[in-house]
Amino acid sequence: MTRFSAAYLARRLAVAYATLLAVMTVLFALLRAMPGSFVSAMTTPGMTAAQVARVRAAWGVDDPLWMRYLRFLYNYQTGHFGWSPTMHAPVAAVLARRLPRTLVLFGAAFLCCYAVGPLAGMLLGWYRDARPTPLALAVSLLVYATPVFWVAWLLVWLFDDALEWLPGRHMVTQFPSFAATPLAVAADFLRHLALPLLSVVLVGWVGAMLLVRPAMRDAARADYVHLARAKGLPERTVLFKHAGRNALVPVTASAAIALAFLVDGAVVTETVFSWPGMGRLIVTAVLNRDYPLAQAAFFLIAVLVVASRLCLDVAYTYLDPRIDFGGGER
Amino acid sequence: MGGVRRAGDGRLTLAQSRSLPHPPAFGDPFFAPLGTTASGHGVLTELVYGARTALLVGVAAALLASLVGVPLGLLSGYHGGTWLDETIQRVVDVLYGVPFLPFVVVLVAVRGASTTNVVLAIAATSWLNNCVVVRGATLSLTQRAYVDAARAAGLRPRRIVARHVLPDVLPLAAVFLAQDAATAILARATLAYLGLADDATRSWGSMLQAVQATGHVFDAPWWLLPPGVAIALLVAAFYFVGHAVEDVTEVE
Repeated sequence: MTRFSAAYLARRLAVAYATLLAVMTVLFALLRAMPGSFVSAMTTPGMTAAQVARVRAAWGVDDPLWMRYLRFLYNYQTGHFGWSPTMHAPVAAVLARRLPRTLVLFGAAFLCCYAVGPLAGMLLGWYRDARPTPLALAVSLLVYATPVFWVAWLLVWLFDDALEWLPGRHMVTQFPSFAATPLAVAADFLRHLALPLLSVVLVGWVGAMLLVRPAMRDAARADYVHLARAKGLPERTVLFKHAGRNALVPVTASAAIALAFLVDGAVVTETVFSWPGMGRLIVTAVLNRDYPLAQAAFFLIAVLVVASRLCLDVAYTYLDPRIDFGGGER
Repeated sequence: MGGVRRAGDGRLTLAQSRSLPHPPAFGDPFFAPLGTTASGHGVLTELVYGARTALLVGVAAALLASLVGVPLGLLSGYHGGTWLDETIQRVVDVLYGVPFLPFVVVLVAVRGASTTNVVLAIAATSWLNNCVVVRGATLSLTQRAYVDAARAAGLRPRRIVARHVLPDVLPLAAVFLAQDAATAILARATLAYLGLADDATRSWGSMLQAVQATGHVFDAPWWLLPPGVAIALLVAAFYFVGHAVEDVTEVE
């Protein structure tokens, strides 16, 4: 049975497309269920009834629901995301400006978390009977249990307020007193990146660790590990090359879901550090009833999640030969 | 941050403490062993009342998520590969495509920020993990010989699931019950921080939000630290319960 074929890829693409359509439907229904209308933010009491009616007609809010739904589906699939009434700019332009900032912060956080977490998970799973292991596990669970924004406040308090080593707000210095050479700007940006990154990674690495640890614990008892030891291979080789690689499989599988959780982290972290990214945008858009912007931001995140799941599923067929994709998706 | 900075050791004079609002203080002349908040309430009192909300939200959201997720997972796993399984899994896939926290923000904004609605919103998004994990366990359990034997003996599917599959799935469900409670408490605190919680209910999350809203993040540690520590301890306690159940029921 071929494990990877054009038919398999086509079916995965069709499922991903259908998933996106369904997500769009959920989004449309949810945002229309919210009370109030963004048009009320664009009209003033001084406007005449005719003027209000013209604004409402221009935004099409009085059309029947099915017409608005079909228009929404059509516009989104042809790349028209509309105009944001609160930002006074095209939605696509707002998102294009915001997304890279979130990607920089959370791309870096993702890499750090998935560098530290699996390594710790391997060690904790491998040395499961060692004396410090329960203590290390308890401490990491306690760290995992702290609210991210509270940790962020403590870090800002320590490094910005008390020690004044690192800036605790914004993405760049607001009114710089240094010459804007590329090097100085980059250094300034990195200094602003440090605290948000630290607060996300401090809490986030535990998630990856918890996934690897049970897999590693099982691997430590597996026959192939006994065989590797019996061959006289050094312990390090057995740990990282034989057991470790197998324990990494569940992490790969869950990385796409972890991506969705990083979005949650983005909402909170960006709010604490006044980081002008997607997470803060999506919450303010919802709270300001800026539906065009909110639904486009949700849609963009859904596209990212669905696309990364698709890529991972396809990559998975190469990574783990034991998994048989012949019949169904999973 | 703004806020009133006090000279010296932060103690109030008698004249200051008589008039409200006075700045939050530690070692307040009132009976407040952990100091007071900006509205003159005892931090310890708020902490004790906050425990009520945290436990309610955690347990209620976790129970709801399990009550939805476990039966759907059993159904999906027992009828693995059929249209029923496919439908449930596609619904789960769609909901995984929607980010958790912004989704909860929308739900709470739609329905209002009462504690009930927050619990419903959290449960509506956190049953997915239960469903996926229970489905996986059920799929492998239904391959076992004793389930075949039960089927051959002519038992109806409902009885097979209830008597032969469910008891083996329950420990796993208990692990996720504890984890759901933990994530629900964290989610409630985060929603309170974003200003999406019921102001009338005392909770640790809204205590932290009040610290920030009154601008005392950097100068009132006796007010900032206890709610965070309380959240961490309770959430960690639920994680520990989950891991203990996992260790006890683990098949060697």
